[in-house]
Amino acid sequence: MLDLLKIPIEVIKNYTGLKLLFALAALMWVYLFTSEKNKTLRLIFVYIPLIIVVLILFPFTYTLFEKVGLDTDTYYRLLWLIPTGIITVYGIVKLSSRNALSRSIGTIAAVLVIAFTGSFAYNSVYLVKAENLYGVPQDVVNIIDDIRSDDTVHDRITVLFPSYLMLYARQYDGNITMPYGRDLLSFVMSGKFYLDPLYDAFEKSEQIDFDVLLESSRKEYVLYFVFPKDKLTEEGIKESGLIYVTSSGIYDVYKDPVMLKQVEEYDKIRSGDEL
Amino acid sequence: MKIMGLIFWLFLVPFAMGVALLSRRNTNTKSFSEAIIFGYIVFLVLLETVGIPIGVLCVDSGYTLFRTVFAGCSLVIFALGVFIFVKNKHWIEYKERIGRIPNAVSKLSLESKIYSLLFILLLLGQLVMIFVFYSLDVDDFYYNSYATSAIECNVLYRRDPNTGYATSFDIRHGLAMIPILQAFISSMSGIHVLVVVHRVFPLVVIPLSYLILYKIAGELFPKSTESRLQFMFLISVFRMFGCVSILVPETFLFIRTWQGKSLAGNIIIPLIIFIFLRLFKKERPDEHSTKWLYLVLSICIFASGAMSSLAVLLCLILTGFTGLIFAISEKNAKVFTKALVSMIPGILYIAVYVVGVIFKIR
Repeated sequence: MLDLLKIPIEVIKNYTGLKLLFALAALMWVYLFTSEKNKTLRLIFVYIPLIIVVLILFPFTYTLFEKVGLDTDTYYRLLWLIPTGIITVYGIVKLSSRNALSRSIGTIAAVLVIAFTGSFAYNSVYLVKAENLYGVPQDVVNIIDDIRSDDTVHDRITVLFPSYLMLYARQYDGNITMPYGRDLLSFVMSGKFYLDPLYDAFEKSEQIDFDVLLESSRKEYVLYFVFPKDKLTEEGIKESGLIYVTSSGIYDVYKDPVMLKQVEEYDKIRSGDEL
Repeated sequence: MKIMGLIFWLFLVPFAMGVALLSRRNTNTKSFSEAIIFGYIVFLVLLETVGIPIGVLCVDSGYTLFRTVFAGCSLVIFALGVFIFVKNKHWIEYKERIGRIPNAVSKLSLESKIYSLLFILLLLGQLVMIFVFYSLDVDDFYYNSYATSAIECNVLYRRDPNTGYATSFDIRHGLAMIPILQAFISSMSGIHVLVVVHRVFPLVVIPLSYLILYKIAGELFPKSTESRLQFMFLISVFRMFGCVSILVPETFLFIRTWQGKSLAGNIIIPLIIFIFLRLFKKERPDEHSTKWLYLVLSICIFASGAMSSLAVLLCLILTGFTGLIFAISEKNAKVFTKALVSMIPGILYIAVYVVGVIFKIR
C-alpha cells in the first residue's frame, strides 16, 4: 500500500518544498473546516481541496495520468486546483476580523510568519540581474547583431553556440539555426546515450581540436562559431583558417571561409547563375 | 506609437471585448474590472479559434494569415464593444465613477487606506522587479523560439526550437497559442517579441491576477472594505514569499510570468473559483445571470487551452468536481448537468488534442 503512495507523496513533498508555509496553509484549512459556516465557501475552500488531495494520493489517478500519455512530471499541477494562498489568507483575515486592532495584530503576525516560513521570490537561483530589456544575456544580443551585420545576405544562418548561450539564441533571432539544441543537452545531462561528434568536439574538450571540429561542423553547414576564449589557442585558431568576426564578453566569434564559399556556390546555383 | 500599439491591443481591445460580453447579461453590465477580466478571456478564445485551424492547416505563411484574420476578427469585436459602450452610454457612467474616486478615497477608513497603500506599494515593487531580473528558465527556449519563429519564418509551430529547421506541426504544444499571441502583439506594436514576452506581458499578467483576487475578496468579504483590502495586502505578501518550490503557482508568477502555465495557475483557475463563488453565493443570481455565468465558465475552460493543454484538463476536473459537490449539497442534479454542459468546449479541445497526438496530425 505504501509503495503505491510513494510517488504521490514524493510529488507533494517536492511541491511544498517541505516548507512550514504549507503547515500554515494546513492550519488555516483546519480553522475553516471547524468554523466556516457559509456553505458555498465551505464547499469550495474546505471540501474541494480535500477531494483534490485524496485524488492525488489515490494510486489509480497517477496510473491513469501515465496511461493516457500525460507527462508524469506535470502530475503536481493537480495541486494547483487547491488555492493555497486564498485559503491561507482568507483564514487569517477571518480569524482576525473582529475589529481594527485584531486585524492589525493579525496582519503583522501573518506577515512575520509568512516571511519566516516561506521563500522570498526574488532570492530565487533562477533569477539573474537583467542586462537588457530582452531578458537574455547581452552577449547573445551583441553576437547575433554582429553576425547579422557581417552577413547581410542570408536570412538563415547556422551558428554554433556554447550551451549557455544556445538556450537564448533562437529566442532573440528565429532565423538563426543551430546544429543541435536543448534536447541534446538534456540527453547529455541525464547521462543517456547520444551520438553527436560536433557536440563532443565543441563542448567536451578543454582546447578545441579544429580538425575534428571542422570535419563535423561542415556536415552541419555551420557558418559561424562562438567560442569561449579560454578554449582557443593562438596557434590552433591560426591554423584552422577561421576568420575573426567579433568578440563579446568571454566569447570570440569566427566564421568558416570554406563553408561560406560553399554557401555562395549554392546561392549561385539557386539563382541560376551556374546554369 | 509602439506604446500606443501596446495600449490598444493589450487594454482597449480586451476591454471592448469585455464590454460586448457583459452586455449579454442583465445586471452590472458596466463593471470595469469584469470587462477587463472577461474581455481577456474572449481574446484568448478568439486566439484559439483562429490560431488552431491555421496552425494545423497552413504549412507556409501561416503567421501572416493568422495575423490578418485574428486582427480582423479582434477589430470586429472591438468595434462592437465600442458601439455598445457609446450606445449604452457607458462613458457617462465611467466619467461619473472617475469623478467619485476622490470622495470614495476620502471616505475610506485610515485602516483601509493603509492596507491599500501597502498593497499598491507591493504591487508596484513586483512590477518594477519585472525589469530588474531575467529568469534562467529553460522552457523559454521552446516557447519564445516559437514566438520569434512565427514572426521571422512566418509559420505557426513549424520550426524545431532546437535547430530552427522546418518540422511538422507540434501538436503537443501547438494548441496552446500564447506564444503566437505574444508574436502578434510584437508585430502590431513594433516591439521585439522578447521585450513583449519578458517585460510587457508580466505588466498585464500580474495586475490581472490581482484583479481576479480582488473580485474573489469581494465575494469573501462583501460587507467589509477593511477585510477585503487586508486580504489583498496579505495575498500579495503570500505570493512574494510563497515560492517554496519551483512547482507552485507563485514561483511561476514571478519567474515564468509570461508562460501559458503561469497564466493557467494564476489567472484561469482563480477565475473559475470566482465564477463558482458567484454562481453559488447566498443571494443567488437570477436565471439569466446564472446562464450567463455558465456561459462564461465554458469559455474560460476553452480559453485555458491557449495557456496549456493540461490547463484544460485541470479546469475540467475543477468544474466537474465542484459541480458534483454542489449538486449533492443542493440535492439538485441540474447543477451538475449545467456544469457538464459548460465543460463541452473543454472536452472538444481535449478530443482535438488526443486525436492530434494519436494520429500525429501535422
